Amino acid sequence: MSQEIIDKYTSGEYKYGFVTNIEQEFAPKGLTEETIKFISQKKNEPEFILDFRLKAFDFWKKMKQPNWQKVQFPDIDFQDIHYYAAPAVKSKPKSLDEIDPEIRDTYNKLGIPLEEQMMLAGIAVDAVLDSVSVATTYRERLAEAGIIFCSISEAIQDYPELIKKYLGSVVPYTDNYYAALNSAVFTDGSFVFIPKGVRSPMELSTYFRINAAQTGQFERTLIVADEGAYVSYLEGCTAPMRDENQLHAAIVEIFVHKDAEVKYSTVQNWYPGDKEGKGGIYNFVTKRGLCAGDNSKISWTQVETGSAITWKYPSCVLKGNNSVGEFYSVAITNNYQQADTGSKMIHIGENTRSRIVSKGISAGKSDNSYRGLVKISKKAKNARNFTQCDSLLIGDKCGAHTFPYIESENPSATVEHEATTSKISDDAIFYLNQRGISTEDAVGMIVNGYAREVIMQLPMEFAVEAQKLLSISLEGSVG
Amino acid sequence: MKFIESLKEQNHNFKINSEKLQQAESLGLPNFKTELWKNTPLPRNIYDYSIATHNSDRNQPLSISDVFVEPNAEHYKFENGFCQQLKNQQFENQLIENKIDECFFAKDIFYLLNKSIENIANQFVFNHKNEKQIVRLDYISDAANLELINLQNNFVLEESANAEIFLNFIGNDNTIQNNIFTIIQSPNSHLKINILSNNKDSQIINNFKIIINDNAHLTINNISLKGKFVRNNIQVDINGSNAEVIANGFYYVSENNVADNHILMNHNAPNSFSNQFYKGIIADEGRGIFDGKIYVKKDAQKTDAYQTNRNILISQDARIFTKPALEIYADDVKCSHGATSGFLQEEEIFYLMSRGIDKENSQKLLLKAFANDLIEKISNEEYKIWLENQIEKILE
Repeated sequence: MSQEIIDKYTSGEYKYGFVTNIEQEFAPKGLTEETIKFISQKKNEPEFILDFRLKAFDFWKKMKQPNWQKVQFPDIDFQDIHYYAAPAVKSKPKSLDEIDPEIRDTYNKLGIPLEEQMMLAGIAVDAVLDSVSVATTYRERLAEAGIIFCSISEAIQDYPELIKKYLGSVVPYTDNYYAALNSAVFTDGSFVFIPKGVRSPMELSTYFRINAAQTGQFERTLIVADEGAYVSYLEGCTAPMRDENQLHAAIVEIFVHKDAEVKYSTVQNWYPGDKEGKGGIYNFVTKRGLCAGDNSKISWTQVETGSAITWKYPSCVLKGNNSVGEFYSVAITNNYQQADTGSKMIHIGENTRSRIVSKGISAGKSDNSYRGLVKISKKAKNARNFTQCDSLLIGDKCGAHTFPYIESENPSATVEHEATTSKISDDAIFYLNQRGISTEDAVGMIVNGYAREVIMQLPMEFAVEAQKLLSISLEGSVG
Repeated sequence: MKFIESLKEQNHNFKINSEKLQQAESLGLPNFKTELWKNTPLPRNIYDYSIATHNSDRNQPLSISDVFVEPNAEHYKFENGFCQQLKNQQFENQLIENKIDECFFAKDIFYLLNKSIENIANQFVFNHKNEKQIVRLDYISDAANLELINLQNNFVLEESANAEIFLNFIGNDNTIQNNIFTIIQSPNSHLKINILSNNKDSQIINNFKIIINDNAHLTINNISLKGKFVRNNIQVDINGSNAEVIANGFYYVSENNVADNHILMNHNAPNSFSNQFYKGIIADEGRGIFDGKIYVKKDAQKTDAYQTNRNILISQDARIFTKPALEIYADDVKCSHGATSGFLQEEEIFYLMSRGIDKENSQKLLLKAFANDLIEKISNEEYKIWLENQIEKILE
């Protein structure tokens, strides 16, 4: 492959860099007990949430920033971040028309007009702009089915008993450094509850945006599927261009009861920083699902094209017998991006099965690592895992790494892991060239074919978007 | 830690590098948070071990048994770290000293402890061209008290040399052998290393640092069939082009023993080949650990590097921890790794049973086949047959 083409592919710029000029309300910079009380008071939270936050904060103060991950970044000054920022809207909008036109314009620029989404795709969008939910659509139709889909702050007000039961049940605040931080200062996020035996009539979707400068975004998503329920949840992210690195430390918790299934799909294209590696989002996320009941299933699908640093390991704890965990991932890194991502599958119940398919693509001067854990505990009779992680290198300045941990304590379990690393072969490009396809298109085609196994797992509308994102990520219009 | 204290005292003939000893002491013993010891429990009573000296008590000397006797080999016997045929000394070898500390186990207390004693090294030089030199080294540790035995052996292969080395480790359960092997292969040299732990009580920590140059060939056959605690750290630095490294490993772990294999294949130069192939059978309450890594440096284009680790657990309480890792900074490479952990397939057992073989024998047959898959790769015909017999005995 000629140098020109590599350069062309690896010099893309971020298309979604703009700032929405709306008045914002900030908490003062820095993290103290007062900040937490301020957030809690602003959100008018009940006592037990404040307790939860303060306990998490106490715990966080005793912890050290982890340093085992294969990424490099300057120390984060946690006292230099706004922990609360909300558009200064006087009263909550009752319909889409009441939403600040500038905010709606922002979404239009992102190519996700709410109306269009609602009409064409029939998707309910709970759009989050810097911490406070601004638009919740299709709530009524979901309510008919008995599904609760709202922002987590509303859920705290309206369904405190559910929150009390499930918040922190999958990711306790003691879990890790950023989980503790998130538990202390989380501002908003989504809450989904699917009652017994209900199949969600539509796919639920949230678009996250980080807007204000120097605002760490601390989202908290909680999805609960009761017995026999099914839901497919979509999360998509974009963030505007800015020079300082922004911290995004979210938690996603999924609690799945007997016979229920949750499918969680993410397309993430946060701002990755410019070509010199300046700026960009630090994405340190804890995502975990618990298959608590028998025959339950969780499926994670992610397409990661953004963030200066991505550091996340969507995991499944397979506690119920016959439960299933899946993880499908495509991670693209370009320029100076760093990604350390993978999955954890903890097999506890009998006959549990899991599957990990991870495809990494590194270009430019980036580093892309897969880090995963498959743990078969003593009781997990006949557990089965298959892991495949492939890496593709474009150019000779990038790195691709694989760190799989496999721990098996049960003789009846079968664990398989395989991985390959290679570049796009000259033969493949030559083959396509021969058939009149330009080298550039050939690379796009090969990359798409390479990631196909994962893209196919996404819901249809998302798959189209992801496919586009994949080609433009490398072609040079989106970073 | 008694072993550190005993080195600080002056009643021994060791030349101490106090800086290294200080480092070892401040590092302390590893625990489950230490990445290299994450899944490896330390030998029992590790705090009570002192350092073996010339005057170590040996009230029940061990005899050499269960080792492969290669008739053409030069034979050396190390007893508690000392060989009567050779004089322990300190070597000023520029080539070795410059590179030796660049290894993944350099920040390990046992490594630093060993390196803090300067005059315990022996050096073997292989310089015959066109003639194969064979050496057999038996390392016996049979001190009566709890003692840690430190030893350093250097092997230098000069240009076009051809050598085969047999390393046999035999010990009682009072002793821990803590060995460092440094191997330098000059261009066009060929080397086979046969590492064997086949003694039921031995506790061994081996650190291998191997540097190979252009067109050199290296084969490692790392077999541990018995042993309470066997840990092999191997780092191969491929610093030349067209070099070829084959690392075969087999471990059988029974009772509550530990077999721990760490291997790092460093591709620092383009156009080289490496293949790691490790298989293990874990029985009883055994614990197997495999931690292998392929590292491909930025300019090491056209590297072919492969890694496979397969394990079978044959008891309820057996455990395996495996971590096959890749770290790659060059794009024109072919690298792959695979790891499996499983059990004997019902179908396979059924197949054999339906042909009139009882269940127990079917299982044995399958396990033997699993092991032979690896043993077959050993090119020394007699050694291979000998190993096959040993494995058969163990599986009985």
